[in-house]
Amino acid sequence: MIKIHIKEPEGEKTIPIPYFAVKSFLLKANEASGSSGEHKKSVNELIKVLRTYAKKNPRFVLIDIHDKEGTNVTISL
Amino acid sequence: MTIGQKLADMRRRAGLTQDYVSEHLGVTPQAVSKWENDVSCPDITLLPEIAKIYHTTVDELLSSEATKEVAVIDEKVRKDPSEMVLHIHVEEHGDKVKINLPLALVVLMLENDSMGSFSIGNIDLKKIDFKSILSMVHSGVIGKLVEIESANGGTVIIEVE
Repeated sequence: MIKIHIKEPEGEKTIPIPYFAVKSFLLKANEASGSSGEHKKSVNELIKVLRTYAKKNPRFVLIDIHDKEGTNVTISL
Repeated sequence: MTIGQKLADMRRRAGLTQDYVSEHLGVTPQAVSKWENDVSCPDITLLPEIAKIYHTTVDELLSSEATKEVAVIDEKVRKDPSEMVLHIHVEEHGDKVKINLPLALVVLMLENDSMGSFSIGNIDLKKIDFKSILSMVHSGVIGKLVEIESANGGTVIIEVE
């Protein structure tokens, strides 16, 4: 599961996204760009690496964004 | 550097949140925040576990010296590169972006040539030679490997831990 956590001055919310949904999204994005079967393979590898890393490092923060308006967005495993 | 600053720095380098650390150690998130703000210190019995999850030693945690910016790690004590993390910190016009990429993911992105599409704001990361960075890491070099200040006031820092 990849989690997107959005914290704004008005409140906060977490959006959990299962790996299969991330995979599906990336595959569709690749299809839309007219990519080859090689890209499908790389998406599968990417998801595999993320899953493996998440098992060893639960809640690992991949991306942490703080903007000047006070919004904080984190994407974690 | 105070112990609190050091704890905060090491936690961020390990890519962990205060919530994760507090839950892992069985303390409150407020306790972790107090340690990092030098309001209080962690119990001595927690130090080995803190050192473990921050990928460091108790000696290093208690040292008053700042974490070395760059170090060459002996082959015998080197971590497996697949367990290492590449940190990219970008700061531009008051916005801060921190990206923690497991090295295994960087290798995959380089193999598939997808680092080329990586940009944050006006800062284009494809100009950074990630292959050379990986090569340095495989030679045992860790720490702050890249620090760039752009003409428009933005900064990019790349560290490997």
